[in-house]
Amino acid sequence: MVEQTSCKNLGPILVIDDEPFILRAMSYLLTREGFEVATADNGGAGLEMVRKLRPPLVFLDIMMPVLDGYEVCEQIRRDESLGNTYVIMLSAKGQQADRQRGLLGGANEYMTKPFSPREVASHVRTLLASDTRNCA
Amino acid sequence: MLRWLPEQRWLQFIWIGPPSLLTSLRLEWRIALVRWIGIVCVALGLPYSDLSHQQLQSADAILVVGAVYNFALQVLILRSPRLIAQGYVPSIGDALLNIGMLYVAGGFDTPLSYMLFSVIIATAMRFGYGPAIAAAVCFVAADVTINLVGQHPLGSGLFFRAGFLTMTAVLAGYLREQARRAESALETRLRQANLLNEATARLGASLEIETVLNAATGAAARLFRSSGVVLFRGETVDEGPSFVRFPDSISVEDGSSLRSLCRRYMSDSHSSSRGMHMYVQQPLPTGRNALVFALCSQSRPAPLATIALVLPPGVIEPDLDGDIIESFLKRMTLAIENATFYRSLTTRTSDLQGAYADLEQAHRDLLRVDEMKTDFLANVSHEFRTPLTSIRSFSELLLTYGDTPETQREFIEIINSESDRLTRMVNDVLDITKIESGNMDWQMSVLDLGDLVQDTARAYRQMIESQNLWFEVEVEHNLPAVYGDRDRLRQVISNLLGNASKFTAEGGIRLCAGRQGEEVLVRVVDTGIGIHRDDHARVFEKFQQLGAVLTNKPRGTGLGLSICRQIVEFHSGRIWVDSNLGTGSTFGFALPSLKPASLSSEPERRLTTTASRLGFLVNSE
Repeated sequence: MVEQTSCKNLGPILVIDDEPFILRAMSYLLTREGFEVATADNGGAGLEMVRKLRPPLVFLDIMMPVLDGYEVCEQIRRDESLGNTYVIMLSAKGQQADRQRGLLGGANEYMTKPFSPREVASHVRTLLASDTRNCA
Repeated sequence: MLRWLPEQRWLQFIWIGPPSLLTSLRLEWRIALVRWIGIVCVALGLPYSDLSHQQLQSADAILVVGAVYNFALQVLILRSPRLIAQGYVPSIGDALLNIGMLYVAGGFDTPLSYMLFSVIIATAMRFGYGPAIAAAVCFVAADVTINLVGQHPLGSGLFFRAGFLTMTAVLAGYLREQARRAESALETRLRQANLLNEATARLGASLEIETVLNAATGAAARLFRSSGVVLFRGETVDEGPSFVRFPDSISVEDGSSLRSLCRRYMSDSHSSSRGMHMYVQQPLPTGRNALVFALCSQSRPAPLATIALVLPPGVIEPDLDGDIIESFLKRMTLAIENATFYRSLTTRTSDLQGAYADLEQAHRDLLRVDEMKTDFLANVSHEFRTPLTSIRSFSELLLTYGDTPETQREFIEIINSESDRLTRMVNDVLDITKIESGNMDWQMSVLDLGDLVQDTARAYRQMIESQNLWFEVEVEHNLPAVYGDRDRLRQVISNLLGNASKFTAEGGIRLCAGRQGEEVLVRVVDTGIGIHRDDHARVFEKFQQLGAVLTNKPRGTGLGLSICRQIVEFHSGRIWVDSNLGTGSTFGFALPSLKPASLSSEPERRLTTTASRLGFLVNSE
């Protein structure tokens, strides 16, 4: 029990998106699933929060003011201390070229909007559960 | 003149004729004829000679051999002129025949006779008729004297020798004369050919028509030693009469007479129907003679050009052979034809290149339009996904998790507003597609923009003032009318007002309409967040949303201003923004005004002209 708590303390899940409704939906969903959530509404603020909070999982939009998703992802990958960060790109850009660019840029997954909250929730549960086991 | 090869000198020694004789074929025929005459004369003279029977027999044999040889020679000449030209056949054969005939004719009585004949022939060849005949007379006189002194009777042998000596002198002289004429004829031809070549050397150097024409007139001047040449190429509608003169310093008198000669023979159908290059002499007012040529080509009914030139003083006709002149004219015709053809070819090539460039440009434009369409589709799909995501997420959240009625209501409100936004987007996309493809159904009419502004303002006043913003409307009196689609222009004003209220937190909005020159202006001025100068160009682009909307306001579609621009531009108007970050924005548009005078007097006609100027059809209803 104690170890699990410490693992949970690795940090909150970070959602970076400039659409307020999507931030609201994601934070509601993840909170309801029992995760700690932090949000940022642009790339610059998002990157700062990644460095400060060291979240295990980041949901990252692409088209954002200040710094776009590709650049944020690149910065995360450049920082070796953030090597364990799992990045899921969550974008309305549905073209194959965008997907490839995201994955080549260092994202672990690329999800296209609109998404199903239930699927996202179960996916996050699986991811973080394995993370927790590793931690144990 | 002609080259004489050294190894043929020994032949020359045997053949005692001038070398150039051997190269003239026609002359050879004449020599053959002379030879026949000689043979006949000898045959006729033999019966009266005092030769012994044995000598007569050998003389007959030699005559037969001579006749056969002469016949064979003519056949050979026919078959192989080259052989004759090389000189072998006549030199060897004639040498043998000469010796035989001399033997017969001279009776072979003394070596002196042979020497006499040789001397006479050599004299004739070297000095011509006179000295040869004089020598023959001397020899005859000597023969007679010797006979008289020797108390010999003057027999028929002596008469025969005398006759034959004289004939030999005449024949040899004739041969020499022929040879000399042939030589001088060749010399003249050669001189003319050289002149022709020199004159026309520059004709083929270029294919540019101007260069060729200048070269042609220069060549004509050189060939005919002319002091002035004019070439005329006929008249064209776009270029007028086209004359080329040479030299530039040609006298005015000569120039104008030559020009009129050129014109006259250009329209002379006789010259072209003959299908050959005619030349005529015409006396000029200055007393000199002029020569006119029509350059005709077989491919054209009319002459290609005419050339008139001044002959040197005192010259009535050029001292050039007809075929040299003809060859010159043919070369000029060919050069001018080629240059003309080349010019039409280059024109066509450049036309084709132009057409190709146009096609390429059209292709690039099409590609660009296609690219824009693809981008637009990608953008549309991207933009549609955002409200869709909200709708899907919140509806699923509602279905999955139970929550307080307040939260549920919040979610439903989000779903509602995002559905609304999606609907507006679909409408906007349809609008913009319609306008861009030209399928928009424009309801054009004469309207007062001031009225329209007041109308729209009434609809928005309540909404704006409920945001605690002041709202002022200023409309100038007696604004000129404009021609436009009322609903679409209202859409523009509404959009600008909506934008202003979305980005203004405090202060207010001013809406004004007024005139400026030939235009009616509408402006929406707000005290909102403003737009950075660098972004001014982008605000009218599709899917460009700059700056954050006030939180309690619905998100835009990113197409509003783009549609506004399309509508205003359709009305031949312009739309602009003037703003800076933090100082508020002014959006304005201007439409061309209709002239009040024409409005009252001739409304129908004015409408039509305005409509055609604007590029659309008036609805006949």
